Amino acid sequence: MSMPLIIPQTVALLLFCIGLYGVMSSKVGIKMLISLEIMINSAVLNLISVARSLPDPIVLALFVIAIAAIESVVGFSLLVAVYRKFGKVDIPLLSEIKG
Amino acid sequence: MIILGIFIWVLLSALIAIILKDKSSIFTKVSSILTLIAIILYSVLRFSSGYAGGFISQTNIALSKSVGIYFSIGVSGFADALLILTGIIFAAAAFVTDRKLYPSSMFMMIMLTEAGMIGLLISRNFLFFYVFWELVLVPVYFIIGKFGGPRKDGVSLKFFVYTHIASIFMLLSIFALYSYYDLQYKVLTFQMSELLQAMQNATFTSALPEIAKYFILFGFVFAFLVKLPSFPVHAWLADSYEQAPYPGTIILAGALSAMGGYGLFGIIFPFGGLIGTAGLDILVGLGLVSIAYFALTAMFQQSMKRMMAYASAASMGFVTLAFASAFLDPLKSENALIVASGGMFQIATHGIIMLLVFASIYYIMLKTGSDRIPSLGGIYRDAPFLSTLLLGGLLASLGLPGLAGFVGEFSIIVGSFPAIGYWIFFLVFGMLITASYHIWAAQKALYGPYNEKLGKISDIGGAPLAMLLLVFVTILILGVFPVLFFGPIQAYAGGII
Amino acid sequence: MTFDTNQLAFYYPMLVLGAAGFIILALGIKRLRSIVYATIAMAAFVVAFILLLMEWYNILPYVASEGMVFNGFGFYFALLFLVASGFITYPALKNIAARSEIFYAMLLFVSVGMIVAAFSYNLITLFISFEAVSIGTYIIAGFHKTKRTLESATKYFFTGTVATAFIIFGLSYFYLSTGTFSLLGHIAVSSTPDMLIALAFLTIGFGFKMAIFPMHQWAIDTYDGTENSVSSFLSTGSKLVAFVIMLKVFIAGFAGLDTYVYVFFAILAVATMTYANISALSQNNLKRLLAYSSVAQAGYLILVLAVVGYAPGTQAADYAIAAGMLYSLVYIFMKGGAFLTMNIIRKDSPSVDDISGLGRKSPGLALAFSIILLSLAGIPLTGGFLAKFFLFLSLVQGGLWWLAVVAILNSAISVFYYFRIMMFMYWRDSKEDSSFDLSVSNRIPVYFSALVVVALFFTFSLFFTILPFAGGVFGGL
Repeated sequence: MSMPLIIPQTVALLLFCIGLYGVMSSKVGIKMLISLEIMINSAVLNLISVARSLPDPIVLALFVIAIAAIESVVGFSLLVAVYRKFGKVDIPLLSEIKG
Repeated sequence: MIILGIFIWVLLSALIAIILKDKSSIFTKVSSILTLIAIILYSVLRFSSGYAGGFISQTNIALSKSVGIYFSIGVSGFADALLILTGIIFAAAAFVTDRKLYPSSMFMMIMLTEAGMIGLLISRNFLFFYVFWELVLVPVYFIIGKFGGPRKDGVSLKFFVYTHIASIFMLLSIFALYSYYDLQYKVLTFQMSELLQAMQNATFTSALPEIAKYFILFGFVFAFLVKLPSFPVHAWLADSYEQAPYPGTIILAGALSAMGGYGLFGIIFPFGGLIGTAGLDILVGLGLVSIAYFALTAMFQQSMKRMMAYASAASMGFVTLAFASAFLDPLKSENALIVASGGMFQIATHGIIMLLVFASIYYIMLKTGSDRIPSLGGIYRDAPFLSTLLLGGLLASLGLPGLAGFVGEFSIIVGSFPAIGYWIFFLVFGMLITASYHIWAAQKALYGPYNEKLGKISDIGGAPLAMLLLVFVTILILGVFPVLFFGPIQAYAGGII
Repeated sequence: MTFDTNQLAFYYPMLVLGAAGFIILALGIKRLRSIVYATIAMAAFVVAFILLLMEWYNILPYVASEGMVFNGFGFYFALLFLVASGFITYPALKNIAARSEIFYAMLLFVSVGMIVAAFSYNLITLFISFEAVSIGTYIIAGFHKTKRTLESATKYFFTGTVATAFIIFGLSYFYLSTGTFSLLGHIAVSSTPDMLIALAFLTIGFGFKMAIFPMHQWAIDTYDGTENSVSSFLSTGSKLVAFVIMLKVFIAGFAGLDTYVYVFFAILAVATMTYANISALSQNNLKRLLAYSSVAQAGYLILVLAVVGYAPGTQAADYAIAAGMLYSLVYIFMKGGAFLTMNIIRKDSPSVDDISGLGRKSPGLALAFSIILLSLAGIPLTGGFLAKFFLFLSLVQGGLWWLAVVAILNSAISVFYYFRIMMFMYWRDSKEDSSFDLSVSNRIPVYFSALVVVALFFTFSLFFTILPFAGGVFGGL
C-alpha cells in the first residue's frame, strides 16, 4: 500500500518553510547554513515523493545531494574567511556596503 | 544625389571641426555658408521650374532589402523650403558663435545638429527618420548642458527627456504601422512611401483595429506637438530657450521648432483626415489655446529670451490650427490648399524671423550685458542700426504686412475661418496681445529715455551688421515675393490634396 | 543509451575549457605570473569559440542523446557566454594578485557550465549547469579577500542557495504535474495547480539569479561590493545564463500555460523596470546606480517572456525571442563595459561625484563611456537602441500596447540617471581628492566595448540573421 502523496508533500513544505524562516531570521552564519541544508533536503524529500515509475527524480535527488555538499563546502569556507576578516560571522550585521 | 552630397559634407564637417581645434571656428563658418549656397543652388536648379508636387531627387540605397531598411532620400517642395531655412539658421548660428568663448566641440555640435536636421528632412525611410529625429537632440542637449546658463543641468535634462518621451511614442507608431503593413501585405518595409500610401488606402485602414489606428495617429501627433510645442506639452520650451547659449537658442528657435511642423505637414499630412472630426477639433482647440495662452504668458516675461520663446510657441499655434483646419474645412480643396500652404509657409518663415530676433538680442546682450527688458531702455540713441533691426524682427514676428510673417498668418486666418467659424475670436485676441507686447517690448527696450546705468554702448558694424541685414532682407523679400517659397509648397500641398 | 562518436565532436569546446582549467590549476604549483594563467584561459576561450563556430557551420544541427540539442539557438548563446567570459579575462588581472590560477580555473569551469546550459533541454542537466555557474561565481565573487568583497560574496552565496532550494522544489512540482524533466516535445500537464506552484517556485529561483524585483536586493549589494570585473561578469554572463534557462523553461516547459506566464511576467517586468529605474534616480553611488540599471535591464529582458506568453506561436513571439537574443549580445558589452569603466576610478565605492572632470582629463575615455551610457539609455547610433527597437517592435506586433507604453516611459525615466552621469563627467570640475587611473589596460576594455556597441548598430541585418534561430527555444532544429 502506498502512502498518499499529500503526507510527504506536507512534511516537505513544512520543512521548507522552517528552513526559509531559519535563513531569514537567524543572524549567525552557521545557523543560516544549517537552515539552508534543511531547505534543500526538504526539496529532496519532495523530489523522492513524486518519483513514481521513472527514475528521473531520483537521479536529480542524487545530484542535489552532491551539489548541496559542494555548496556547504563553499559556504563554510566563505564563513571562515569572513571570520578571519571581521571576527564574527553575523551575516546581516556585516555592514561594509551601504546603500 | 546633390542633396546626398550636401548631407555627407555636413556630416564630414562635424568630424573635421573637432579635429581642427583652433581653426574649427573659421572652418565651420565657411563650411556652413558653403552648405547654404549649395542648398540654394540645388533649390534653384530643381524647384524653380517644373516642380509639380511629390518627391524629387529620390535615391534608395538598400541596406537590408528583406526587412525594408533602405537609406532612402527624397525632397518635397516643403522639405526644400525647410532645407533652405536650415542652411540659413546654421550658417548664422556658426557665425554668432564666438571662437574665444567656445571650444571646437561646440562647432562640432553645431554641424552635427545641422547634419541631423538635413538628414531628417531628406530621409524617406522611417527608421532613418527616427534616427535623425533623435540624433538632433543629443548635440543640442550638449550645447545647452555644457555652455548654458546657471540652471543648465536641470534644464538640459528636462529638454532631453521631454522630447525623448515624445519621440519614442512616435517610434511605437512607426512599429505599429510596420507590423500591420506586414500583417496585411506580407511585406516588411520601413519605407515611408509605402507605409504612407497604405495609410491613405481605405482597405488598409479599415482593416486596422480601432485602437491601433488611433494609437498610430496619437503617437505621431503627440511627438510633433511636443516639438512644436503646443499648449499642454510646452514645459520644456521657455527654460531651454532661456538657458541655452545664444547659438543654441537660435538653433532651437529657428531649426528645431520646424521639426514638429515638418512632422505634421511633411509626414502625416497625407492621412491627417483619419484623425476624425473629434480629434481635429481638439487640435484646433490646442492651436487656438496655444496662440492665446502663449501670447498672454509672453506678456508677463521680463527676459527678452523668454518672451520671444513664448512668442515663437504662439506662432506655432498657427501651425497646429492650419493643420487641423485643412481637414475640417467643409468647402474642401480651395481653402484647404490655402490654409495648408499658409501653415507650411509659417513654419519656414518663423525660423528666419526668430533668427533675426534672437541674433539681435544676442548683440544687445553683448553690448549692454543684459537681455532683460527692464534693465534696457533707449538703446536706439547709441545703437540705431541694431535697434532698427531688432524692431524689424519684432514687427515681422507680430505679422506686419509686407514682411514674411504676415503671409503665413494671413492665409491661415483666411483659410481656417470656414472651418472654425467664430472661434477665430481667440485667434484675433491672441494676435492683438501679440502685437501689444511686441510693441511694448520694443518701446521699452529700444526707445524712450536712455537707461544711463548701461553706460556708453557702441552700435554694431561690419560683419554682424551685414549678417543681420541679409537676414532682414530675406524676410522682406519673402514678404513681398512669397511665391519663392509658396510656389513649391503649394505644388506639394496640391499634390496631396 | 548509445554514444556515437559523431556526438563527441559537440563536446570538444567544453572539453577544451575543462582541460584548460585543470592545466591552470596544475600550473598553480609553479607560482607563475598571473598573466600566464590569463593567457591560457583566453587561449582556451578562443579555441572553444572557434570550435563552436566550426561546428555551427560544418555540422548540421544535431539532437544528441536526450537532453542536449545542438541548434542555432544554443550555439548563439554558447558563443555569447564565451564572449562574456573572455571579455573580463584580462581586465580581471588588475585586481587579483594572489592565487590567480584559482580565479581563472573557476572562470573556465563556469564557462563549461554556461555552454551546457545553452545546449541543454533537460531540467536535470539545466539545473546542474546552473549550479555549476552559481557555485563557480560564489568563489569568483569572494576571491579578492577584502571586507567588502567577502561581505558581498556571502550575501550572494546565501541568497543564491535559497534560490537553489526554490528551484529544486519547483522542479519536483513540475515533475509531479508533467511526469517528465525533458523540455522536448509535447509536455502534457496533468494538474494545473501543481504547475502554478512550479511556476512560482521556479520564477523565484531563477529570478534571484537574474535579479528581478523583488529578488534583486542581493544584486545591488553584490555588484557594489565585488571587484569591477567580477561585477561585470555577474551582471552579464551569470545573468544571461539565468535568462536562457528561463526562456527555455518558461517558454518550452510551460507551453500549455501561456496566459499565466504572460500575466506573471508582465507584472514582474513592469515592477522590475519601474522599481529599479526609480531607485536609480536617487542613487548617488555610481556602482549601485549601475546595479539598479542592471536590474532594470533584466526587466526589459523578461518582457520577452511576457510577449511569448501573450501571443505564443506567432511572428511576434519569434521577434521577441530574437530581440532578447540581440539584447543579450549588446548587453554584454554595454553593461560589462560600464562596470569595467569603474576601474578608472581609484576608489572602492565611487560616488557619481568621483567621475567629475573625466571629460577634461581624458576626452576619449569620456566619449567612450558616454557611448556606453547612451546605449544603455537606448539612444540611436548605438546597439542598445537597436535592441530596444526590436524588443518594442515585438511588443507592438504582439498587441501588447500597454506594456509597450510602460516600457517606453521607463526607458525615458532611465535617461535621467544615465545623463546625470554624463553631466558630472563633462560639466563638473574634478574633485581634488579624486584621481583617475588612466592606464592603458584600464582604457582598452572601455574603448573596445564602445566600439562594439556602435558597430552593433550598423549591423541591422544581424537581427534578421538570428531570427530563424528563435524557434530553437523549443528544442527544434
